[in-house]
Amino acid sequence: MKSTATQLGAAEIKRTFSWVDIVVLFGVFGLLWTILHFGRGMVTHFDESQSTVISTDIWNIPYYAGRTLLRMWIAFGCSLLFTFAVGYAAAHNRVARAIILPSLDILQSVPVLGFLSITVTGFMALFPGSLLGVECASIFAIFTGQVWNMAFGFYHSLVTIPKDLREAATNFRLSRWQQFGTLEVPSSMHSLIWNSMMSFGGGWFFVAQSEAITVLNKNIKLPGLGSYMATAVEKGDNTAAVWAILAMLAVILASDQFVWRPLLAWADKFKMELVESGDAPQSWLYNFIRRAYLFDWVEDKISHPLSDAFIKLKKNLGTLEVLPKAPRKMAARWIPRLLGLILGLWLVYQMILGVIAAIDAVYNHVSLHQFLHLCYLGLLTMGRVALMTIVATLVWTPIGVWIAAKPNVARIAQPFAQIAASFPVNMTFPFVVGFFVAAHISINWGSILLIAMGTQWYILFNVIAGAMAIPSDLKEAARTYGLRGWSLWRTLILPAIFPFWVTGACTAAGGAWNASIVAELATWGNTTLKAQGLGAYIAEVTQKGDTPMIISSIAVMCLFVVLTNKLLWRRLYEYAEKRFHLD
Amino acid sequence: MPTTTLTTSTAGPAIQQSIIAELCNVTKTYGVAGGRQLKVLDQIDLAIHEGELLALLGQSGSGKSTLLRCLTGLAVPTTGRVLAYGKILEGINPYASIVFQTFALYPWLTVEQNVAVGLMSRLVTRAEKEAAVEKAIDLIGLNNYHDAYPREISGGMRQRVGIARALVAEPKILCLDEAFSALDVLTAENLRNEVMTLWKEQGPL
Repeated sequence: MKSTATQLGAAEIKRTFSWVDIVVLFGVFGLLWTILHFGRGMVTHFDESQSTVISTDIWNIPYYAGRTLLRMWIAFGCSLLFTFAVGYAAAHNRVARAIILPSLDILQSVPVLGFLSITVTGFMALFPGSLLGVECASIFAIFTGQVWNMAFGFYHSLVTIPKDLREAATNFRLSRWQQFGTLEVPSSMHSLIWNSMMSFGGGWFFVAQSEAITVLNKNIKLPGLGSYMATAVEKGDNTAAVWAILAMLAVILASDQFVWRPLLAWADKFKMELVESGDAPQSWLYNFIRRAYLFDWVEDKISHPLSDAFIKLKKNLGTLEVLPKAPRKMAARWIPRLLGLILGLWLVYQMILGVIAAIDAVYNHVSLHQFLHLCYLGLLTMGRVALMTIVATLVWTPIGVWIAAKPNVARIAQPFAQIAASFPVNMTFPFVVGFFVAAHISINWGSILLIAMGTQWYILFNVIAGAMAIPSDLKEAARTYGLRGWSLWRTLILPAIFPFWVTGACTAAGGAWNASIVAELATWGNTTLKAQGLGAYIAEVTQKGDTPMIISSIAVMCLFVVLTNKLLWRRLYEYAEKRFHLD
Repeated sequence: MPTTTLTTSTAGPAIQQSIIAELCNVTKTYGVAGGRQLKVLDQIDLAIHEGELLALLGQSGSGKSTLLRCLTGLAVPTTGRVLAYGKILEGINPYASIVFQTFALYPWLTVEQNVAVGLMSRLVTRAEKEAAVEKAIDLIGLNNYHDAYPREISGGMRQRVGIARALVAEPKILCLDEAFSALDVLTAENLRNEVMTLWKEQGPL
């Protein structure tokens, strides 16, 4: 009662333009200008014979950072469109679901970095003589790194929309478009933003990696922070390298502060629960923008009159609104199905062609002995991934539970862990490798540390989330019955965090396979350290451009990942779901 | 005792008038686990007249909600026909609104916006919409709650929003699917009386 009264009071104040609106206007136009400015650089001429020169002058960092950021956001925009289209199709169409879900499952577990050489050559052929091809390949790499997770999340939210909310929308005869805007997107908004944040964070790794690559013996560099770092390391310019790392941190922090925090603060109202929850996420930028009158003005003076005019036009054209629409004629229903069938068949045909070409390329060039060698290397890398997962679990589980028990620590630690997970650790690899060389640590073991640097965080913040989600009545019950120490862990904490741990460990292991491609073959100035493993092998054949071996080594890695997913993670998921699901 | 009530609110409760919706020989079966068929409705005939108040009584699982869903077009009968104003119903019944037991309000919309959902499928201008929403809110006693979110108000108030949303489209049939059973006894009784008073006094909205 009290809160509504104050809201009423606030609405009565006559709102007008203020300096806030000027700042917001400047912000909007500044953003547009920046996009144009950095976008122009994307279509410059590119000669394959000579690589782009990246200057290590510190004053160039803002420009390079802008280019990297633009790449990230374009990729994210594509991911978002793909997520909406594919998630929606999977949720609403039986046939589409049968195709999309298994494909997403496979694509999610494929190590994206392995395909970089193939996509780069493909996109370069699409845009000959322009840097746009390489640019597209880089964007595509980021896209493939983040999109599957988002699409899955959106699909999952769509199918878990409560039945009564759907029925209400149907009962009030909302059109498909209205249902999408009023029900489907809002109800999945919260998970969509969280998933986007995580995927976007993972994207930094791919952008840093794909900006400077050696494909088919050609050195290709895109202007960006990743390539700046690579150039600095090549030149041995430590100051520039440190500046690049700082700039990367700044860019990640800025994305968090200027985009994700405001979005989270705004999306708090999309939470599904009908009870008032504790502290809502805050964002200074969101609070600032909300003070602007500009958006209300646009709504009042532009969008409302437009929609009214549209409705009047529709009325004059004599659209009957009250009568229900007759079901579409048979022909009208069959046309989209036929088109879908043709498209599907064409896709299948293309895929079969691709598989045949791949098998043909591999068949005559790869002997059984080589294949077995690949499997052996795969086992070695798998050992590293497993060791990383186990050690990270043992280290971070107690720490995560401790952090979760202290709300003050958790409030600081969670964003920190998120940023740590976002930071593209491949940028710091050169330094760590330098340390390995100096300390005489074998890269065979050292690569485990390199892999862990990027992926352990997933385990940490899933454990934190799990421990924070333990209902307080269960904790109080445990305290009442005097459970402490190991018995407390065994009866309450471990079962409660297990489902969360499975999610975190599965993500970490998936990321680790990708990271192995960068971590097992690391360069520091003139020294190159190479570990025995499938990741190093893939990195090597990619640089050489040995197509049959690229295909077969990636195929082996995919096989490993898909098999561990099916045989291990899927079962753990099911077990967790059955045994340890709260409520 | 679980009840499902139907109210037609076109005219006062006076004399029975023309039939506005009809179930003719409706049978509804659901496929349940194990490939078995569960028959929920078996050859039901029902006519709903203008100005009538109709209550369905029955144990849980006896098919009250299914009947309501057939009537509103949310469920399609396995055999038999549903008529709305004498015409065979295709898709959703445009003359019927439902009030849900679970309220089914959208948590991200304010009270006002939730009520406006009832008008979304209509071609109305901004001003017309605002007037209709205001009228419904006023009618059901939700004044001063326009900008509150569902999570900020009590269960009884939430169901008032549900009723306002159902009334704003000026339905010929108002279907209350155990609309008061999620509320405490006192609130439920008050709200039920209010709805009855509305039905008796107002006639057509």
